[in-house]
Amino acid sequence: MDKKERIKNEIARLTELIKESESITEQMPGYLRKNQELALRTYKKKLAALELEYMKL
Amino acid sequence: MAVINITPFTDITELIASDRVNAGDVLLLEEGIYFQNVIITKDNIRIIAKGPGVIFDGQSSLITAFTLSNVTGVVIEGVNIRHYRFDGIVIDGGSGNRIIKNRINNLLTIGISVFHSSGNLIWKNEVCRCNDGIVLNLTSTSNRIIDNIVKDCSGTGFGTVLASDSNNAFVSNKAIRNRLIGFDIFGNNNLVYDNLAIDNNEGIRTGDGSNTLIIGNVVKGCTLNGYFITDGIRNQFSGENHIACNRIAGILDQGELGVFYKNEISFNGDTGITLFFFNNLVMDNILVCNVPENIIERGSGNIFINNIQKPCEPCEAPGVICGDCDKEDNSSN
Repeated sequence: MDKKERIKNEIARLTELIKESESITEQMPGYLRKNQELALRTYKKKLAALELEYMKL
Repeated sequence: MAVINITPFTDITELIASDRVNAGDVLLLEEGIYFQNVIITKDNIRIIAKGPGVIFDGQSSLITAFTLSNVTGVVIEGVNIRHYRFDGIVIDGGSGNRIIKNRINNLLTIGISVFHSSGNLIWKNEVCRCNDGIVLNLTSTSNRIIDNIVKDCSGTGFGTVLASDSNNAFVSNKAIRNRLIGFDIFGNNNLVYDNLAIDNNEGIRTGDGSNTLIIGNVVKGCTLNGYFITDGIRNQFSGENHIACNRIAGILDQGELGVFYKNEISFNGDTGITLFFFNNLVMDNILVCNVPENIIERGSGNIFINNIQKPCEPCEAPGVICGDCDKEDNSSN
């Protein structure tokens, strides 16, 4: 697997997981949701950075 | 500095963000099952498990047990982490954090993930049944990954991802039975020293960088190659590695200007060393019973000095020496 494919796979996996997790988060009680959203924000940031790297290749 | 006792009912994220916790404080975790995402936004906080029964369980719905968000000097020690949707511990930015003796299993992504971060110590952790074990990404530099075990993951054991993930050291780690690569090392000036890679799909792979050092590692039983140097790697150095019983090549080299020095390469199923490219130095290596050849040169300008090559003895072959599936199946009946 070359670098481009590797990053592409990682982007696909993160995108799917973020989407699923957003759906789970919506159903959570309020006291859990705040930290869940904060944690999810880290991965949205990571996804954006990976997409930027992918575009550079 | 203070020691603050923490129970599973404490909102650790809120506590850390409050004025009640200051740099240098120890958060001492009582044993029990914690159901929370902890986000650490303050430097030099030490999160220590009081005993072996501290368990962070995401119940397949929480995101990450610990997020270190642009912090320095944070310690996380002795925690069990399981069933989170993303990573067990993620270090996002910052530097100089210490992740020690944690046990992480059954996650959908990475056991310990580092991105945009430098100078962290990841020491004596165990990761199993995750997607990947310990991964450095997005310009993570000068990290020290020492004496960890990663096994039974569906992806890679240990890895760096981009050319900018440089100057990292992987020392005395074990990668066992991971479905992809034991050590997948991209970037410049990374050191892979004294590690063990057994029964992975590929033992060590280097790519997208130069000056990688691969020294004193043991690589055995891979389905593909023991050590694969991908296209374009320059000036890699491989010394005193023991590479045996891999299904394809011991070392498959697509790099140039590399040095292979004093490696022991034996009983690999499709050559000991295959050199596809140019101007490598192959010196003082011992190659035993690699079939069909101990060394195959497909490039040019490679130099060979003082290598000892031994053919297979009568009745000796990789399949005989290394065992095969049929034998293992029969012995387990």
